[in-house]
Amino acid sequence: MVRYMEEGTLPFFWVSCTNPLVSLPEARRIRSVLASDEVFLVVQDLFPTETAAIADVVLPAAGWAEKTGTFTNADRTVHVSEQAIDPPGEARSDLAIWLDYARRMDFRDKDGDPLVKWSDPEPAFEAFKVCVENRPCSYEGITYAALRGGSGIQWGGERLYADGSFFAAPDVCEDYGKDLLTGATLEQTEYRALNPDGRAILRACEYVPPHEPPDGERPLQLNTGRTVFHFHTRTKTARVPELQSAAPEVWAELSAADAERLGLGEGDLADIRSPRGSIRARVRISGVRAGVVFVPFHYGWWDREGDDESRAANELTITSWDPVSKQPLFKAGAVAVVKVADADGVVSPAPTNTASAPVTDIGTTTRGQEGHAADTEVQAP
Amino acid sequence: MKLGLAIAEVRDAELALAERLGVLGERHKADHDVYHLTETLQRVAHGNLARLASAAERYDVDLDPSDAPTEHPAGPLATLREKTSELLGRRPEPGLLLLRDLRELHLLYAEASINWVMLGQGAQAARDANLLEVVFRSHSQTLRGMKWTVTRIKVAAPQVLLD
Repeated sequence: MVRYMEEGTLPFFWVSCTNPLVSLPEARRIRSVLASDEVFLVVQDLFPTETAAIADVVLPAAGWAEKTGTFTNADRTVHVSEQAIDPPGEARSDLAIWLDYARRMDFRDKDGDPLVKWSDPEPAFEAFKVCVENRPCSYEGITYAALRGGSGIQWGGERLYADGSFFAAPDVCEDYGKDLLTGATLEQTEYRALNPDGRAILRACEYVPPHEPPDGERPLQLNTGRTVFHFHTRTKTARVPELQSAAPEVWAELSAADAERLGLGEGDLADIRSPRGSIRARVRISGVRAGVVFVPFHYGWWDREGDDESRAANELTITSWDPVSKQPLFKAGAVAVVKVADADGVVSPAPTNTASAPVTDIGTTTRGQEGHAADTEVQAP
Repeated sequence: MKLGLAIAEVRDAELALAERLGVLGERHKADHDVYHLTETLQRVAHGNLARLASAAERYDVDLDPSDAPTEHPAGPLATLREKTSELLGRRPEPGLLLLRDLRELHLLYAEASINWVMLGQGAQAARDANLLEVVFRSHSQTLRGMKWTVTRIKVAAPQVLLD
């Protein structure tokens, strides 16, 4: 979609509860595309984000406790979540916003009747059930009444593949599969030729080298990722004092061997540079693999003075993705790391526990808030 | 025996593919998946040529692997093509150009594919098991690239043709 916006064939982009300006690779490119006058940008979110700041229209949305709806866990368990409190100000649920949009756009079906014939969460759920009727993920038998009767209910029943019956038959399966090297889709005839009925099909792919391997100029591989203290671009977690104080600022993790070679120590300020851009972060010497520098991608600039983009890890990342899943390759670019300033007694803001734990004692410890501690006595049985 | 002729036909087709993939990668640098996958597929074509060279020594065909074009070749002309792609990347016309280029690439793949079929029949008749094995492995690799062109054209066509 970003490419279509870039080419000018996709002029309207509606972002709901995500923050592409900070979370997508090659941030400078994303900024220039989304901020372009050619793209009409709508952002719908709970809090102001970096993307909302450049939007043409911002729609304040309700949070999970401020609306009713269902959600499905990764283990197929469906839950109903009831509205507990009213949303603040002009905020409305995502469903209410989209229904209002459909009404104002006057969307109609083939008979000339309104396209969307319901206006509440429960009939919306029933309409969704019709869409997945007789498909492998059928929600048959799950109703709001049943969900309110106890705990969650798994779609497909407790056992999904009872009697060893899988969804592999050509007339049942959701997809005929793809070539893992190129992403080319298999045709139905090719899939049938595999005689897949009841079988699992395992595909292999040869090793493919990274598109941007480290070299003399940029000797380290950049790996961006997460800390357990934050979710995505900190839209919510930065507003939780305990989580924010545990990981308040971006950092860069290096192995002891690489840090020594580069003349870097705990807390030193480093410039990290790729062909796309550069950021500045304080160094943590952690258990990260040699040859790799790790930078958490959570940090943008909504809670900073001005539009200072110099700490967003995606300034550095490469625009490239896996051809099958389309997942961006956040862990395969090359960077150079250079010292900018000595630590001068300051330690890196990285948590001293979890994956960012230092390899040596640095004199500080990540702890919860004062007064929040609890003593629990556990007795041996 | 004219097996050498069939080998030369396969070689020429795979060389043409490798060269075309390099040009397409540079020309469509702003379409990042095309840029990166053409590089991967060029490596696949090189692999095919190398396998063919190892199996075809006794048929007296020139199969020096150094003839193959390098990946996304550097140089002033290549840089010019890449820069043009980056500048033109902000206009809709590259979509049409991409469709045309992918179609041309598909036809080159089709030619290489049928050449492998011919060589395979010849290798079978000549009872050259080694050559036959190379044809079997390499032809399936060529078909991979050809299927990618179909998938990619299907992805690109609706957006380009309805704009």
